[in-house]
Amino acid sequence: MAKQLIVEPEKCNGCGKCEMVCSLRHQGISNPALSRIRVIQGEQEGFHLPMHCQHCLNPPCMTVCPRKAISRDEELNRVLVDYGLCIACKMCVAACPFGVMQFNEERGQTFKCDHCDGDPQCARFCEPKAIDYVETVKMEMDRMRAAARRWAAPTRKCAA
Amino acid sequence: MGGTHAQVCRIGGSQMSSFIVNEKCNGCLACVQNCPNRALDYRDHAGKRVLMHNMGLCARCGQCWRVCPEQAVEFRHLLESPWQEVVALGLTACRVCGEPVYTFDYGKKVSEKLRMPAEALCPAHRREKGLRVWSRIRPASPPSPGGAR
Repeated sequence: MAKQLIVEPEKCNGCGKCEMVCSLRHQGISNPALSRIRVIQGEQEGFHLPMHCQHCLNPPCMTVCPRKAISRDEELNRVLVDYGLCIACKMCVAACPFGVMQFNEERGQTFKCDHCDGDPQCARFCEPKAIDYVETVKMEMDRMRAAARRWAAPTRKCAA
Repeated sequence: MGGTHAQVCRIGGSQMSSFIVNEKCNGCLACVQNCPNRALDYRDHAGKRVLMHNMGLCARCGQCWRVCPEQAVEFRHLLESPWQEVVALGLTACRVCGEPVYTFDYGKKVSEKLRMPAEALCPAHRREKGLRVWSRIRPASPPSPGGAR
């Protein structure tokens, strides 16, 4: 069953633990600057948005890559970079609309979320559960239910 | 030859200054004879002897410098390699802060591939844009906690 990461910024308290565990898992050191997930400070106080790769169905990074190093892995519902093909031209970095394709100057490599091969550490360690790894179907159900609720209230009011 | 100064061939009009002989060179061609990779050659033409050097073949072994009976080869220049400018391209600056992001042609290429204009943003402002894009596409109401039964 395909799963995906879902963030609820309303629950995020901006502790930055996701950044710590992400860099620790991928880079071996706890360095938020090398994290695939970044907590962005919103304009209003107390609003934090954990930003990670959206694993787009039609990824712009994949479109611009001149070496076809970026592909979609349907099994784990993710977009992957093949470092054997990557030439570090940074075109994907320029193309990503979310700004989550990043570049490690030290290693000369792009880096992005890879769902930790099916066990995202950010979701595992997020205490307020602002990040969750859920089945895509369930997420769709939640969205449909919310939409139905939005419609149900005025309809009931009209009927009464 | 009477004190004729050997001329060093200039490649493609650019200043090929790596192999230099001083005024002591008398054109004996010992260096040409002893170069293990035949990076040196000469031509006798119109009353002049021209000594030629090919940087692509030169292994910088120093044999020419070692054999030269007049100490005319200045080997030091073969080891010095100054940076040469290859090309200069116009830069596109970050739309917000003005920091150079990439070249103009690079941005054009990305825009071409995306079939829409690419926004030139530095890493910090790229992240802020993520927030903007997200608030545009976010679900109208957040999923209710424990919604699925």
